[in-house]
Amino acid sequence: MNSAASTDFRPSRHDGMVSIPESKTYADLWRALPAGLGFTLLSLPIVILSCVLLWVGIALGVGLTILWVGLPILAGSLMLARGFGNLEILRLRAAGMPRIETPDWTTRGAPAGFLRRMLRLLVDSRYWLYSLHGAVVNLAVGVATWSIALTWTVMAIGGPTYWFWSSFISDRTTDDFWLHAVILSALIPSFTPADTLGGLVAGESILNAIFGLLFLATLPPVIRGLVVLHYRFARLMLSESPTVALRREVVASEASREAAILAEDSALRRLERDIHDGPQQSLLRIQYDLASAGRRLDGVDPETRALVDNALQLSKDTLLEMRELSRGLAPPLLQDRGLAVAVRSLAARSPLPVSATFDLDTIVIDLGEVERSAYFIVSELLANTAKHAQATHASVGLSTTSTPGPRASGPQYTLVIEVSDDGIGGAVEIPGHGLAGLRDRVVGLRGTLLIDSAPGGPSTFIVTIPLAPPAAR
Amino acid sequence: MTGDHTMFPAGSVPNPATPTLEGMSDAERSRPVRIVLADDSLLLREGVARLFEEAGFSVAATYGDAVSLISGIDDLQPDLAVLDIRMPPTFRDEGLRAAVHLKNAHPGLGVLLLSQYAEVDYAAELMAAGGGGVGYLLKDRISSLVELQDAVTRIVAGGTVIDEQIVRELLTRRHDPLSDLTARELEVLSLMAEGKTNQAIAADLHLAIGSVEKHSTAIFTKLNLDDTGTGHRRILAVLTWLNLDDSPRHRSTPAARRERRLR
Repeated sequence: MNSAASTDFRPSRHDGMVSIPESKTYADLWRALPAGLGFTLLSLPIVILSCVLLWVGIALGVGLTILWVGLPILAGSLMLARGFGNLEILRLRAAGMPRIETPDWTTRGAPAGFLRRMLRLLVDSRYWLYSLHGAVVNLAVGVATWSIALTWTVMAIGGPTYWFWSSFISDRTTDDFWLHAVILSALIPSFTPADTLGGLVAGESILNAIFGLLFLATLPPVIRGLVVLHYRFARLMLSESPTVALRREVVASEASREAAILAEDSALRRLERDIHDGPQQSLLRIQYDLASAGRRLDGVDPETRALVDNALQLSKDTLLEMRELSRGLAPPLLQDRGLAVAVRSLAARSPLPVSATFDLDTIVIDLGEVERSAYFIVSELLANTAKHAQATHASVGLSTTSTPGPRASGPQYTLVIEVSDDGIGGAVEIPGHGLAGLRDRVVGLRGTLLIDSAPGGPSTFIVTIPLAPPAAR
Repeated sequence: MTGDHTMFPAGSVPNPATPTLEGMSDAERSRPVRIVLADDSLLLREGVARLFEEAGFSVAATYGDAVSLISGIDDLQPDLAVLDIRMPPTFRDEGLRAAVHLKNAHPGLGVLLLSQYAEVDYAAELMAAGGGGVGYLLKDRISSLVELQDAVTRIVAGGTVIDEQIVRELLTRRHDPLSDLTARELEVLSLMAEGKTNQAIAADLHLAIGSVEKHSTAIFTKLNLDDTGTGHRRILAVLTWLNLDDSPRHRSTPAARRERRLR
């Protein structure tokens, strides 16, 4: 297989209609010819082999299903079909065709015993599709393309060389059928064929040469066309479904967005620690020293004492500011004591009475990096309520729920945040304002936000955030 | 000032006589209070130690972490252990856990926790650890010498000291039943929650001790609490009533929770 013949065509992942670029020169087609010939001429033995093996295997397997031994035979045949499919794709690649994405054969789910894996294989439609390709479709296509390729090649080679090998075939006489004579007689009324055998052979040679050269000239595009035909069928039946590929892309992009949010959380928590350790401690020390200095000046130098007292007050105020900053970044209590305690503290600091209830199954679930986001979600909701709802009372509820996950993976854990108040309702999301920003954050964490806030009535906000299973950490 | 030490959490060891000032000889009474101190920041360690010295106490040793302090207690036999809450290795609540351990192992030892921010839960756990001789203060508080002296003296005498910031935060939580109390009664209640005795309250509010006692009775009646005398038990009752120990209900023990915090 001439690798120079394979100009690399990289199809786009999302594009279901992968186009094989048609803008190729004649010279390119000639360059691709050897690989194409190798592909088409080898097709026949391979497709026959695959057809026979698969038909026998599947028929045997199905037939013997009554006895248990049929099932492994069937499964084995399906695996064989997969192998043949992969072979076809490899051969196509070597012949210069674009890559075909094969399905991801790994089965997700709990590791299972031999029997279960075999059964899973038997109901996997991709294997059956591969079998259909190897046992039926590719047989038809392969035989057809092989025949055409062979014939064309023979004509392309044999035609121009007729003058050479014709002398080796059985004797011909001047009375035999000579094609060139027939054609020329029909075209040119006044034509008379030559008298001598030599002359007739020469004429026939010329005719064959002309035809042969025509075939030769068209051989590269034809071969290429045959290979493309194989490719189309292979892509149709053997490739990964574009839906699956798209789904993979979506999952990856969701994961990266979530990772970005969590990275931000982690960075801000580190920042809070740094502030706590550095500047806040220095400010405290300054307070102590200024207080001591002030005491020493007491009665001795009232003016300086006053200066020192001012400085002391300033440092106290600065420390308070830093504490507020800390709270805004990543509240120390949240980091030290966890979400429940921090939320309770939030509730206590709210201007209106807020009751908080918790039902967090922290034995099974570690909230992890979601904690900080959850805290700020509660903070935002409570601030919203305090500002706009004109309520007399609000309540916050945090709980974790688990729902059985997809088959063979663990249960799916979710953090549920519920904030309600008895205010006037009418909460709406305005782009650029609090609730809309909240929704952005929630969506970024792959969660949901439900708002029930009809005008006049009480309001309830429910946020759910999926949690990674404990084993993942 | 005597402390009431008859209330113990289940399983703890009854404490021997705390060094109360009345029980001491003159020589003992004149000896300065011996203090050991742990804070991971050198800057603060020096600053706090100097403040204590300025206040007339004797700083026997300073440590950079809780473990060293605990091992040094036996040799030094101090009157008071002062601990920062956030210390290595995990920088979460090492000081608090060390304080609880110390109260169980050395019931006669006074323990003072210092924190950069007032969080009610820490105070709650400290209170639960042992009867009397405990304190929880903000680090800002001790820059005032008067407050420092008062706090240390009270703790060493077996009393309890709770930072007023905590009490304030607790009070703001209860919006309804406190409206039954008069303004004066609220003041008395706050000071009681801070751990002050009737005498100290009378001094602070410029009242006669008799009126303080009257207010106190009224408070307990209105709040429907048994009058449990003075001292640690009373403070505990008040703070309990103010939901100091209202921990969020979740299915795990505090120990398990802390275990998981160690990430």
